[in-house]
Amino acid sequence: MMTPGTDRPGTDPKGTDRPGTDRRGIILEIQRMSTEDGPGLRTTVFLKGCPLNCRWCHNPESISPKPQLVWNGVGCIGCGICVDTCSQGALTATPEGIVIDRGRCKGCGECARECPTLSIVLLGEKWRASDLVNELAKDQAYFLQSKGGVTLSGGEATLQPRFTHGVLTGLKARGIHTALDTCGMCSFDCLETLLPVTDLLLFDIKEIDARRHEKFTGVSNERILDNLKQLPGLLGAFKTDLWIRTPIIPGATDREETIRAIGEFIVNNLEGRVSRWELCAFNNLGKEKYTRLGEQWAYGATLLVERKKMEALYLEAVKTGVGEGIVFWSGSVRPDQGTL
Amino acid sequence: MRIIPEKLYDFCVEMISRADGAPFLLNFDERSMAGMVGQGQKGGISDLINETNVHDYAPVGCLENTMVGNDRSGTVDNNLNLLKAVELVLTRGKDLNPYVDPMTGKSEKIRQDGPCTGDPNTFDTFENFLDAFKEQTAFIVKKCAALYELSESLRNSYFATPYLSCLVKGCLEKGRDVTQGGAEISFTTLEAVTYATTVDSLLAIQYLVFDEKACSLAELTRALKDNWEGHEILRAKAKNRAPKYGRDDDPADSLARQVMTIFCDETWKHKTISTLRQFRPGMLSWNYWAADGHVMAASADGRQRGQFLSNAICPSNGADIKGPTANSNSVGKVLGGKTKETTGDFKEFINDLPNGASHTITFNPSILKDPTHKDKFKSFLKGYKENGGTALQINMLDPSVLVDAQKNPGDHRHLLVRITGYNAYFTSIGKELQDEVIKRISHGNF
Repeated sequence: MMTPGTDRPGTDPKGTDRPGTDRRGIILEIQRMSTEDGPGLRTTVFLKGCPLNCRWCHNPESISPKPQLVWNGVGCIGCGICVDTCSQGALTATPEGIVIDRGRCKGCGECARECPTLSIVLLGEKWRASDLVNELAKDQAYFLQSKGGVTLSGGEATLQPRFTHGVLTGLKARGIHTALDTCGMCSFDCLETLLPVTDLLLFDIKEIDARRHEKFTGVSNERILDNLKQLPGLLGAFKTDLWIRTPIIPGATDREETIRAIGEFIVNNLEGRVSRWELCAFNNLGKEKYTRLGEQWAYGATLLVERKKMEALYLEAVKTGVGEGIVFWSGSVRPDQGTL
Repeated sequence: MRIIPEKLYDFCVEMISRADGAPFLLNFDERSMAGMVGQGQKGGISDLINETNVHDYAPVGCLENTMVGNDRSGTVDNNLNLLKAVELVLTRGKDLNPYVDPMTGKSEKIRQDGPCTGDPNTFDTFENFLDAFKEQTAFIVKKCAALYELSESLRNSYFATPYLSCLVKGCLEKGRDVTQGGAEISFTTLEAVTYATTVDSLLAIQYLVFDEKACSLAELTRALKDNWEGHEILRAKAKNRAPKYGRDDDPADSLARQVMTIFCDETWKHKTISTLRQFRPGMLSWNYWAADGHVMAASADGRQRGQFLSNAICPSNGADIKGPTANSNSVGKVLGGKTKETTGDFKEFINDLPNGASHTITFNPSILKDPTHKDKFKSFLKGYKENGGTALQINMLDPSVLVDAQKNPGDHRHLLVRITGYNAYFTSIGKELQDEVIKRISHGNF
């Protein structure tokens, strides 16, 4: 059972760093019956920690690899127990609710363990790979019927490579289909280690231009594209399927030239290897998450993409030669325009 | 169900997506047949229901499984509120609140109705509490059976139905009317109402009093008497921190399974006196779970008097925060789960509720938005037949539920927003964006 609260960070017994041991990893959430993260019915695990810092990220709580305290006021009854519990004096009750002094908060989670309403939550929970596999296997009957399985998402799973490897290996041993959702910002060795236990790689290409990529995500895409260029050999050897995903972000990646460049990259480097290229429309539902983390979101006031824009970009993607049956678009568009 | 043609699945899914009437899906044959065969064994009529003929079963009424031609078993004859047994432990066998006659407004004196199962404040362990719960359950089951005997004996003496009796095998042979228990197969059913609220109340007592020591049983009883008013912190812990049935959480579901076994075992102990019909267990709450919510006192799971109780075998409202698969797995587990057999048929299943168990799950309509998603939904149904119950009703989320979730987020923690690579519950996304999501769903745009 996922109990509220979390283990203390850094309490890993010595020696768990060695490969082959039952390593612990930090995860945010386990979402069962996922219908949007790969084929069939899936359980998606959101790991915590990401090497990218995309301006538009809709899961900002997944970027830091450390546990983070948030206060979600909707259920709070103002009992003040959290304030009294904190040994660091990091919490203050104000008319607007509980304010967290992030300089003082050590992320111990003591307040979260005491909060009667679960309004204060420490995001990030340590799991042993073997325990996680047992939890994920609970929906195996639905995976089998739907040709679904488990998707490791994030955050970025390759940032916790041994834990990820342990989980994927455990799942494969039980005959469960595995998908790895990655931004590709990892060593090629890491991919070489993980691909034998990965049935489907969901690989993001957000932007081809290195400078624009760095501007949007904080890092250059050199290594990401290098990894992609080397992928075909691995994919063949391990029979791993490849899906490419591109977020369509207003004012950033929602340009025909961006889509054209990505399409050309796919045609030139991954010919015949990509079975799906998904254009994912910008999702505006991350706003409150930023507020709860005490951060501002650059996209807080950005409207959803227009339907005709998604359709135009879809056509542009098809024109690059990737193929009509391979390109898809998904996500929410402006309310009066529906979605696909 | 395992051999249902794809075309029929497709037809069902289409029907559900058009929402013209919410169809009740009853063809989870393997689980149902396991229940019927078990009923034959427990009722001592394996010659009449066994593996050679159980495929001939059919539902009557709503979802109540019955054999054909020789079976006149009663269904929804008795509706017993299991939660009362928890209350009677806390009060040593007396009503917590006096009964007020709705016509006269007069309140009745509190009597010693049930057995005194000891001063709960002397219970050292939760097992002590559970033993007392078992004794009180035995009492309410017995009382319910005795009450039913009044009507059964009247029908037995004065309510012959000769035409019907001519059509049901056994009556002619025995020379007894169906109302005299003449049919070859003639069970009567005790339907448990408020299963999940009962389980969740026991889980809350275990968590608050025995594990966390957040309060004593006396303090908890006081809070329930006060309808939780003035006990907001304790109530919040009961609602939010105590484990719940319906989350595929093994320790919680294991207590739920114990409650199931206690109820079923007590039910099988009884027969009608006038007609010698064997009682069997079922869970079909009709609308009692709504109406009884006003009658029953506040409960230890954090529910106030007047709030709905749980329905049939469903988890408490809003408790299934792990989604439909976890919800279904919990239901399958409490029915008995699976055997070790690999015969490919009903012998792989256990089902302690032969009369059936009503299960409803509410889905976001986006699950049926396009052919790919319809396929995924179809796979869910196929998974349900392996892991779930015997009867499933699919409701589609009404935007008004989301409006209510804005006002009462604590009651709707389970509503998930499903978007590629995104993770959030509806109640956490902020008012403005909630309005947008409501608008989308209202217009059929997801």
